[in-house]
Amino acid sequence: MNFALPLLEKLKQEMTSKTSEIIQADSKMPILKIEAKDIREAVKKLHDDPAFDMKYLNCISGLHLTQTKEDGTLDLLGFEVLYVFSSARDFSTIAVRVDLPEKNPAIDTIDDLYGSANWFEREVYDLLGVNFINSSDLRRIMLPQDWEGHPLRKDYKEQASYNGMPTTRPNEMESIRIE
Amino acid sequence: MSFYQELPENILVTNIDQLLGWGRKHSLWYLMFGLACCSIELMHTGGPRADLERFGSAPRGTPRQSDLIIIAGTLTYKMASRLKLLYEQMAEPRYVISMGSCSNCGGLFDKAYSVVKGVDQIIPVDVYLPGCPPRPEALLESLIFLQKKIQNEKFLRK
Repeated sequence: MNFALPLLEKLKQEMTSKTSEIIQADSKMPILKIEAKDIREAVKKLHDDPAFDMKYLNCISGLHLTQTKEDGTLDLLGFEVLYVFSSARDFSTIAVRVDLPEKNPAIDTIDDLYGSANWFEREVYDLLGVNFINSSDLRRIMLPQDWEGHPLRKDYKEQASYNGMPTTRPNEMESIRIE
Repeated sequence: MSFYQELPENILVTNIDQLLGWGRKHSLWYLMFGLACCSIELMHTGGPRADLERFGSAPRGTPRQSDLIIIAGTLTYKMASRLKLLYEQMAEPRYVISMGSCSNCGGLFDKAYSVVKGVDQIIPVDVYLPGCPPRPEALLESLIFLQKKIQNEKFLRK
């Protein structure tokens, strides 16, 4: 018995924009795919409406979508941000997914609704560079503050050195190789 | 009859370098700097079975009281500046054991974006201890190796 699917269909009905769609409907965790501008509306409904009663934010995860072309190069297809919520009432879990463009990915913050969202958003910002608009405190959470780039992007290029420390080490076996 | 045989039984003859080395090698207080799974083996080595303290090596919580730092685990770039600060706070003469593959050369995380590829890029290392992680016996051997090095040092004339 999947508790989440009826809830997700109800959320889909109540959204003002009718562009949302349910994906992975037969899986354990069905996902409602919505547009980035509707995220505040959907999350507010999940948080405040007693019919949903989603008081717990499990996680916010990010993904850089790519496709390998025939010549081996990567086709960058933008970002995906997934919000997973749980209800303490019947332990149902539902997920809301947002797709963002490759250039300047940005989405409204939800950390005024869920206090725990701030650290998740900082993690997604730190590793993927997704900008959360109006966030109360959007800094890097794990990497040093002076780090350049976002390492989980598929097109990330490692710097040659960081703060004077080289990021590579010569292979010492190469120096004793007999030609 | 030689000079040594003429001495009374409670007199030993040595030179100052040997005596200082003997004292210093048996009081290697180490700074606990466990970063990853190697630190679990470091704790085993401090435990009753291997027992680093048999060799006069006691764990200290502060760099200012330590002679030795055992870098046990994966060093990230964020931690590297902290390691340098801790190392600079230690009083000379100071020694470094790089424990495990990660601190030797990056090891498993050779291709990672956040891991220092070898502690010797930050601070000088006296003993490299291979293993992933090394067994407590191996850490004991590296300590004994370091003790031999200290015993042979000419401490008074550099």
